[in-house]
Amino acid sequence: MAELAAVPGVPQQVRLIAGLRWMLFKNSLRNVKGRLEAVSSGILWLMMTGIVVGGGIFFGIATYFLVAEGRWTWLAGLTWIIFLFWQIYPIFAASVGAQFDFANLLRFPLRFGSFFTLSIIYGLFDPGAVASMVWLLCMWIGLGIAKPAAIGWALLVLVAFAAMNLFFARMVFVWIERWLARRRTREILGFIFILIIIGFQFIGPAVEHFQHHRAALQTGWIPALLAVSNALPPGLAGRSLQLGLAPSHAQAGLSFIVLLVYSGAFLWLLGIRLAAQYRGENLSETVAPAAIARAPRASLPRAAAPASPLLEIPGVPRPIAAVFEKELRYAMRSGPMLLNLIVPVIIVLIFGFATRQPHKGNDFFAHASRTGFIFPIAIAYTLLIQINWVFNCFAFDGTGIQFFLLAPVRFRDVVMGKNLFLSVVTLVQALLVWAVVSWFFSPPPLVIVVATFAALLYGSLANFAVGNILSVCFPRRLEFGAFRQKKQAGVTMLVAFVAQAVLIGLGALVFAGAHFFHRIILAIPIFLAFAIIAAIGYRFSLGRIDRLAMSRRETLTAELCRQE
Amino acid sequence: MSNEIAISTENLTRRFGELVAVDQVNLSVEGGQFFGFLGPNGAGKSTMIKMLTGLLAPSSGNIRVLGVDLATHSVEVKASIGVVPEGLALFGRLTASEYLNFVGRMYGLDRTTTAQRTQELLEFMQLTDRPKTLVTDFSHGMQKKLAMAAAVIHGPKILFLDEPFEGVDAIAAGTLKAMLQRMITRGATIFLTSHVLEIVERLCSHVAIISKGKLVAQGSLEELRAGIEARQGVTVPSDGKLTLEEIFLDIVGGTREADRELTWLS
Repeated sequence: MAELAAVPGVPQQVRLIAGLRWMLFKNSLRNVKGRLEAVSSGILWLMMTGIVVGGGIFFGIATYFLVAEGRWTWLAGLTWIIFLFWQIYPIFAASVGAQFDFANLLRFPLRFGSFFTLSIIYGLFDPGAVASMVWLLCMWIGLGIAKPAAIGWALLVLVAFAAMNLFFARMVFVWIERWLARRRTREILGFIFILIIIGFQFIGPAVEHFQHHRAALQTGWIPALLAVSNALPPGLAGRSLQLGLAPSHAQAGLSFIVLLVYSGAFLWLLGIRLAAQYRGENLSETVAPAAIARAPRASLPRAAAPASPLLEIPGVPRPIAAVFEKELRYAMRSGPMLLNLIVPVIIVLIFGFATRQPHKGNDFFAHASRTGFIFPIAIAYTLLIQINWVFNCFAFDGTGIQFFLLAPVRFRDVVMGKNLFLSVVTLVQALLVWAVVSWFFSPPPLVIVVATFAALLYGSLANFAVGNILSVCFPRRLEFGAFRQKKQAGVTMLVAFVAQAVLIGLGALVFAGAHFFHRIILAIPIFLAFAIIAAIGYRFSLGRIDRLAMSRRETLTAELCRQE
Repeated sequence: MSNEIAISTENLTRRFGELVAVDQVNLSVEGGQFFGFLGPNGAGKSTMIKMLTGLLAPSSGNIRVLGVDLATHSVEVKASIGVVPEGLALFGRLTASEYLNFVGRMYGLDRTTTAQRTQELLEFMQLTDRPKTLVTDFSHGMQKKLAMAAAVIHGPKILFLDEPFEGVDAIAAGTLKAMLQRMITRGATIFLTSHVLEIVERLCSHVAIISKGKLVAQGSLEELRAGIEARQGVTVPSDGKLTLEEIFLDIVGGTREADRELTWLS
């Protein structure tokens, strides 16, 4: 038997993986699209760097003042912010960070120890982790300047806190990955995720609410909440720092030990999943082959049971109606898409929650709700949350894009079917928002309602005009409910961001101008004029879409049919 | 439709940068033929079938399907062909019935016909026992049967199949073969690529072989066999008939690679 090569050690394997990542990046620059992606990602990374640096300055200065002024209990607030960012950022950051399926390494002769170590080291390079560690470093510097004597203890606590975060993030990721491997649990997680995101939007109003009800902080459930916080890792880290500064060594040591116990527990849970992965766990969701049915008969029966009813839309050509129906069925099966329908309504409720406080008599939202401008604001939000669907409209079609290219229909009909569906969704959302605004506040003035619908018409047409072109030029396969592994095309993100800034900015400017001159009615012809221009743009983009799709068909099929 | 030219290409070429994947191919498939398109890995089979079905633009050359230029009349051509491409062209979030209904309507079938054919195809393909299951949750074999059903729902005159039997169990393969042969007897043309030479030999009346982007052989099995046997130095088997595998290896030169030995392998 031929002699086998020696298994490489962990450092060499880390070097190999780093080299692999570098080669993947280098090869992605071979074509124009890859280079554009790199430039777009570079711009997004620059923005991210700004956030990291800005956050670092904030955490450094905040820590310095909290320690210098003796407000040590507030340090837990900072550790909580970093904890939340570290854990939640990766979900959002899927759009800018290249992801790598770690399980691919299992085909190589890795020992479990190496696999485990590599998995943890990999977590260190997550952008959220890098930013959080920079902020922890800034906290340490701020604390060190304010109280040099505590610098050693603070370093110990913050390193333990960073390790806990790292283990927790990896642990959560591998467990969620297991749940995401199956479509049904993936969708449930997706739904929960969006509920959490919506829940976060209540934090601001809630904080403001309690700032003006300080008594609630002294009694009731707030102290209980703080006690719970102190029993959790971020609270424990903050408490260890606080008690170390006091100094109360015994209590500080106890909090630190509990923090270490948490870290150990997370590491153990991470180990369970990684061990299962290492053993070759198969998370395939493919069903077992169907039981063998009877052999096909020579003479087949006519329709024994009716197939799914087919939607007929009067006046709409059959292919457009078919695509509309397909989109509807997709949406009905997608928790996130259904939730997307009601998110604007929830936003209106958040506005309502924020503006119904007695002290909020003069702020922007209170003013907006009194004057009826809350309606166009909520509608602007409606446009924003549809970016994924408008600017990457084939994202969820997967290999179905081949069918669109093979079918004897014009590509513009396919795109129009999708646009028609989103238009109906937008209209339903707008009506829902109007109903909720009318019920929660008071019916917005008719002139604002008409102007808002005119603005919605212009915004939707403009978004479709740009979005259709981007969908064909920079398609990216996405799956409902799968957040971390997928990313939007960088160019799409950048253009969508700029387009929304321009559209909503322009809309706000028109409304502000009309409001300033006390002639809201002026906004209607202006928005209608914009809508005509947008309609010309939409028509122009539709006119080019067939040729564009034909010239970009390789990109479309390569991107959307790619097996992830 | 027999004896009319169903598919023809003229100097068909496709380049990917420096690589010439398909090089000046002149192919001719008569109507009613069961045509096998063969070649080693990377020879250009998939590129060729993608160009013939409109999924990929040629760099140069012409394609005519049923006498119509694909480049200028793509919608008309697409209406008369059915395709099972490499990726199967499925929408994972629909049920099998919803998918076939959708496909039927996209091909312009009316409501009643679509519903009727959907039901017939689901029964024929034995896909009726999972009416609520989404396509994404089907096994690969079931997905392939569904893709095949979608490709024929509009009664195409020409069927293009890219590796139709890959990942399909023997029972399903039998069903598909029976359906394809019935289509041939009714005058349809079938163009398929496959790596399984035994299947091609059993089903196809005519084959073409592509190697390194160039069409190196084309004709009926008998013609190819006779061409090789006529050459000097070719050993004809004792049963007096070269198999398609032997023909293929002789044409593309695969035996030379098999003779090589990797001495470090146990």
